[in-house]
Amino acid sequence: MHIETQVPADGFVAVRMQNRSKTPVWFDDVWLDKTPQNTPNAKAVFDNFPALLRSSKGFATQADTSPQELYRATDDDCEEEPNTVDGGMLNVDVNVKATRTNTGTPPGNNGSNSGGDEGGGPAVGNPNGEGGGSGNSNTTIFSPYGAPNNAKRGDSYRSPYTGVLYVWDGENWCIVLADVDVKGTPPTNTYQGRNYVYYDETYGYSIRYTYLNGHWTLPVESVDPKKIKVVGRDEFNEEKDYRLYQKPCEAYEYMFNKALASNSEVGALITERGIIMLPNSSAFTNSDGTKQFSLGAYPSDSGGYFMETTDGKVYISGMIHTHPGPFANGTPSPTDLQTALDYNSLGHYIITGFYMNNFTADRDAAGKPKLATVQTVYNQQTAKCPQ
Amino acid sequence: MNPKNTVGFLVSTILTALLLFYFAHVANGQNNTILLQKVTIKDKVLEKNLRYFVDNTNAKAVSVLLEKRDSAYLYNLSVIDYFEAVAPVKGYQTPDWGEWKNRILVFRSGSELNQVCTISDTVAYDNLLRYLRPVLPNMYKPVIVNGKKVADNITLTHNLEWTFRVENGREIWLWTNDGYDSRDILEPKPE
Repeated sequence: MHIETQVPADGFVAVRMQNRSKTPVWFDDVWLDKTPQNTPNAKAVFDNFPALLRSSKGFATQADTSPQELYRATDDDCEEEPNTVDGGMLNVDVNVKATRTNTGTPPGNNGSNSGGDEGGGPAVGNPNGEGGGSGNSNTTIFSPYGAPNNAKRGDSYRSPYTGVLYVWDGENWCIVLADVDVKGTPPTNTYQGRNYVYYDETYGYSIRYTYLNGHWTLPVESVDPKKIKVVGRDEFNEEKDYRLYQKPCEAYEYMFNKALASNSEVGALITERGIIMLPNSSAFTNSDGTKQFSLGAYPSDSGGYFMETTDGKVYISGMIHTHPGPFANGTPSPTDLQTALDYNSLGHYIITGFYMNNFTADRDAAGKPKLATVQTVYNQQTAKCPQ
Repeated sequence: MNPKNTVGFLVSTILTALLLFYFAHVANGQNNTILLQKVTIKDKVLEKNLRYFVDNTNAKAVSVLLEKRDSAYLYNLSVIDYFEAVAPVKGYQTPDWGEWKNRILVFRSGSELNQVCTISDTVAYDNLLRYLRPVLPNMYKPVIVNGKKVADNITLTHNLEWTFRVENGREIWLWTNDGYDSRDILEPKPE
């Protein structure tokens, strides 16, 4: 991967890798090579990687952008430095090393994979690029290089290559985070296995942290498939695939168009992995076109909700539904308010043909829901995917 | 007449009568035996709009939100779709309610309610719940698999809503959530 960008000032540049739903993608080892500008024949190769250039937690690699670093050449005898350094150009090659993709053999590396796949592409994910519909046995589990394959819940493993500490939560390897790396305000009454979902309202993504061995950790989960199925609910086994939009803007565009063109509602769930569109099947659509949502009942002390899918548990952070018709408005209906009150840990959104509202509910004197706040967060244009 | 036919006729007549009595009793008894409070509406604009609103929606129960702003009354009418909307909430007072023209009105307001309507024949709120229980469906339906609740199905609806302002006995404006707003209509200029 090659990154080239203008450097406006001295300092550091950090590289963060994320999937389309803005969830960080974690690699076992990442480092930067910097290529000096104006010296095309002198590529800077740092044989002994300075610590600064190596990944500290699987990603968020930093590089010095000070002029003398930017324009360093391999020829140490070369004293010539470019004269113009202000607003210089940073050329960076991002390399990924020693990543593993195991299929159906969680946990850990089974030892049969040889290491050192330099530049070997994504660390996690279904190699076919498609997924779902085939059950958990074919899902792809990330495993740090050299990790044991018989780890038990709570077992930890520190990568000798990167220094990153992982904990096995029973389903995934989780990266142990420093407190400052946990976004938002995590709950203080922690316990082993507690989940905390941070939802970023500005950018519309969420991150699920799990508390393990005295620290908040970030599970390294498999890449999202495009289609998934909900499992464990016999009456819905005939359901068509749910569609997972890893890019929220694509989901919004779909819903804006549906709201304008259709007289029946479209519903979706905001999840840690993107936006899951509910199927337009009888199980989720009433005879009058109104929409049913289905939420899993997560253990009560977490305050969260999830869906059990063929790709594992998908944690839900919000609900969106359309108010269809050319004259529909984004004011929540009494049932919308009731839902927002009863499921107040979730974000609640309404999409009309023209805009998307976020709303919250409060109780009136009789304890019944009343509108507390409503705010337009996107319109048709601002929610559009970049061309 | 053949005695067998006579007995058969009598039996079928009695059975028919019993069935008719049973169905008539159930049909009438289910709701009519439950005493309900009565609402008399004093505000003529509210009464007119309520009549049109229930004609439009065929609502069995209507939520009436009332606020007084200066000398004007601001009303919001919405359909009560689900039983959860009337179920009492622990720690909160139950709302004012009553029957009006075979519909249930549930009010959300303050003391100004007395200025626009009168509620008589006071009975317990439990009567309303017993009356509406067979009438309104549940908004939340648990999904049970192997005897264990694995999910909640939540039904979201967005029925018709009317909001209007009444001042000095006159309707000042009326807004509906299906795209109508009387304020959009331009008054013709006097010639």
